[in-house]
Amino acid sequence: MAQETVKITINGKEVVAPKGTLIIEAAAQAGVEIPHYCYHPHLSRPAVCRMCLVDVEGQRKLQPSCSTPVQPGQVIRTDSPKVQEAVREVLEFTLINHPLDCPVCDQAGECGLQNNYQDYGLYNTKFTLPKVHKAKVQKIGPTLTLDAERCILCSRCVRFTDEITKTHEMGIMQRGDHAEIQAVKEVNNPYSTNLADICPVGALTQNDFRFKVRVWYLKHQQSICPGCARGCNIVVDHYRGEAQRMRPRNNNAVNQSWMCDDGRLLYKAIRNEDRLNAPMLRKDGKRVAVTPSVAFSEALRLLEKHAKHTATQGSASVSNEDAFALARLLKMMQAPVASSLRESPVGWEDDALLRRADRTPNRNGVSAFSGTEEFAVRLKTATLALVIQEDALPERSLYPQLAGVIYVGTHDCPTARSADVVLPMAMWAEYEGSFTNFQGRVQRFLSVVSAPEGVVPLWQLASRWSEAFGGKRYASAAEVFRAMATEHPLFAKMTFDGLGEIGLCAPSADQSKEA
Amino acid sequence: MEKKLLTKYWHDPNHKMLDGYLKNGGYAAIKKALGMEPDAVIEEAKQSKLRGRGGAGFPAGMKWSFIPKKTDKPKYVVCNADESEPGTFKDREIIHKDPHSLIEGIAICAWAVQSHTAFIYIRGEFTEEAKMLERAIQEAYDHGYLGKGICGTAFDLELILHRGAGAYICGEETGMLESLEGKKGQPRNKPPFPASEGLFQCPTVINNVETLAVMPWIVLNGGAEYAKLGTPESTGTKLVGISGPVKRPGVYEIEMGMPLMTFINELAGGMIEGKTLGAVIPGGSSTPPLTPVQCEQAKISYESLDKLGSALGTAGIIVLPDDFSVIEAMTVIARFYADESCGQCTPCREGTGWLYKTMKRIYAGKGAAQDLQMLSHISAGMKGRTICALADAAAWPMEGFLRTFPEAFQKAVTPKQAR
Repeated sequence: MAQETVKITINGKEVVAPKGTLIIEAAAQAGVEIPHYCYHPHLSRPAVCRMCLVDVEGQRKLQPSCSTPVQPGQVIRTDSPKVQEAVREVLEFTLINHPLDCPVCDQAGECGLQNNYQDYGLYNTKFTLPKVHKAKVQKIGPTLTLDAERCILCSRCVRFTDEITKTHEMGIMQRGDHAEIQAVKEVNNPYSTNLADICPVGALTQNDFRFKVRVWYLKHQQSICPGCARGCNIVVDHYRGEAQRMRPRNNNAVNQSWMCDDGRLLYKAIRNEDRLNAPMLRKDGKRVAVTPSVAFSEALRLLEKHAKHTATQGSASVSNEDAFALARLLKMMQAPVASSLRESPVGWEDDALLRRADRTPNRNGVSAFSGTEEFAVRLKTATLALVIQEDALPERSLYPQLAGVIYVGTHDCPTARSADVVLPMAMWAEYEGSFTNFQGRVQRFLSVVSAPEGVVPLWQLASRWSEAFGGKRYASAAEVFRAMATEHPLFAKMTFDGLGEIGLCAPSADQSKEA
Repeated sequence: MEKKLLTKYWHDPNHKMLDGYLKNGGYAAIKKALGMEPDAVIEEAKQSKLRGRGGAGFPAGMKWSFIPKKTDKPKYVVCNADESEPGTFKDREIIHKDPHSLIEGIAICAWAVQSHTAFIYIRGEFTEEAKMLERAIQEAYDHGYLGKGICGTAFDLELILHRGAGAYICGEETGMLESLEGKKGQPRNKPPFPASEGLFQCPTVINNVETLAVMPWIVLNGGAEYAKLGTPESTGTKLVGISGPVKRPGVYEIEMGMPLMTFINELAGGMIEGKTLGAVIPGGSSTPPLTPVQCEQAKISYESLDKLGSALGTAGIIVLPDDFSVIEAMTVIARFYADESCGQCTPCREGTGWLYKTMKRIYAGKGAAQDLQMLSHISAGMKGRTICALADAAAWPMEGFLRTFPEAFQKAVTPKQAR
């Protein structure tokens, strides 16, 4: 289906944009950035901040580019003296009642006002009158702090709670320069923290992140939220080897620009006190820490000895590469690929926005490599249990015939405590790989921080064990992905790097026939 | 001197009641209109070249013709009775003395655009006027001029009176629509224009009280007849209000094009004893003031006042004596706009407040020479950059005052010992 396009000129450059595109969007596609505050691609466009005014030939007044669609033959200038003057003056108006508290404001460094006043050189205020004062440091809910004085009344938060969550907590009271942003009730919806993201200034800040790290120290990495089957695209901000904050990243096909509050806090699990940091063996009923190579060899000895008598519990939380490498190992051991997946914990339901009842990130991908045999059934006759991540064998004494239990996971649990070999594995933020979300979209996550010393992802463990059974050892996630793509139709024609920033959907059966 | 089309029977105390109105030939126009094709009524309105009397002066017939003929949506007529421009009180007089001509005008408009629901949005402070209209509307319902099958035809028309809550900005047509919908009164971006997406996203005509109230005359006498009055660009008659130190302040209906000084000296009786004309604000507080010299050249018409750098606006003339305080007057005006800005667009929200605070400082005798440049800078920054015209309406008088009374401003920012 060919989309109708419109030809326009922006700053002397010819640009072709789909019909109905807003000028601000067409300009962005052409690499021309138009300053703005109230405009947000996933919210309505009130055109109130007046920062995005542009000169459209034939129009007497400057037009707001955030609410003016492109018209054939339009000649637009964003760099004319008239536009530059307007932007500078609108910015000046925006700043007159804004407190000059950047040194103690947590938004400093990622503030729309700071960025623009540096661009437009408004260093000295002409405003010498008393500023309007408004309420500061208001805890408006469990996740957010509001400083009404810093607010520039762009109304993004009001529109978010009206249009996206439909919870209507935010409102602008009064009028004129006394107009003030207020929470009319406690802001306690599952998506509240997005307000801190969309607030262009330091009015709404996230309690979890406030005053933790100055943002200019942060490094950023593209990732995928592991919190549910949605797989929201995110950025993980990290500092000195530790994840500090998760933020949503735009992907119109998956999460627009949002993520939920629960997902946002998942980075905390990386440094959780239950985290398994070192391999352990059970000796005389006690767990003792050993070197990774000792634990690895002991596990391999058990796998070789019991081979096809192994019962395996898989996990829907591991990457596609992990699941593929594990399935390959089991096949070589001639053990059934019995890695039936456990049900997701209850307590969450699909909601109208993002959250999925399935709180595992990769059920869709891991299922592609799973057998049908139930772990619980297989356990009755198996002599070795290999448990990945799940707390699937909390009561080992029920299965007296089990000669050994290997646990590979990220956090301690009853199963890990009764295992003979405990091998910690890397978490999603510590290696690179891919998840397949509930829509079938394969999305790539990259390594944010390093794993504890000696801790590797599951695919590395499985691929190294498989060497003993005559298999090849993979050198990288990309290499596992290559093998996976040749063997499985769900990943056909994909490459790891080709997943890019927003992932790829497997072509449906019909489409693959046509191709 | 006066040309009485609309005000012809205002001397008659019974005219505001249905009986009196009927006796004076009322509701004949709607009966005539209902016998015409709706398009023919629009054509009469167009031929009259009547320009909207709310202040912006957009041709009324043209506005009606923009309403789509074929639409699945209901259409609405909204009468703007949120008269709140300082110095303006003509619509209030119509409601006081001639409420049925307004109701009849609304019915004519509704028939012309084929709307079955009309609203009168009346200013919140007009408590008495709301009661008067309420009573007149009830009378019209009781006698079949409103409701099911008006005047014995198959045409239904509901008329709903809606009271505002005291915001000037709800007089801006799209701010009014927001308020009518139950939201905060904040003007909308245009396009879409109300004619295509107005009240509840349906096609909507919004007209001022005076515009609608004169429609019965136009229907009865013909648009061409109306267009013969006044000047080619400002046809017909106009209700002009005058306040200030004149002998007979009030509302007068005149033919467009009358010299301003004739109006002031003859109809309003001239200045009261001991007062000399200092300046005139010709069309409500947002129109820049005229000097006595300019007043001599001015005619009461859109084009004449435009040419003098001011505007006809709502034709609410404010006469200022020569001993008035320029600074105080401007401070009061600036305060009004700072208070009434809805606060959604940045230049208006911040600019109106900045102007007022600066004026207040000058008025307190603490101004500095650079404040005058600042006032010009702020005004220039506000104009033409907002959704509605309130920012412009605040900037125009500021610029006008600075232009017209430079000495007064200069003196106000000069330290006392240096004077």
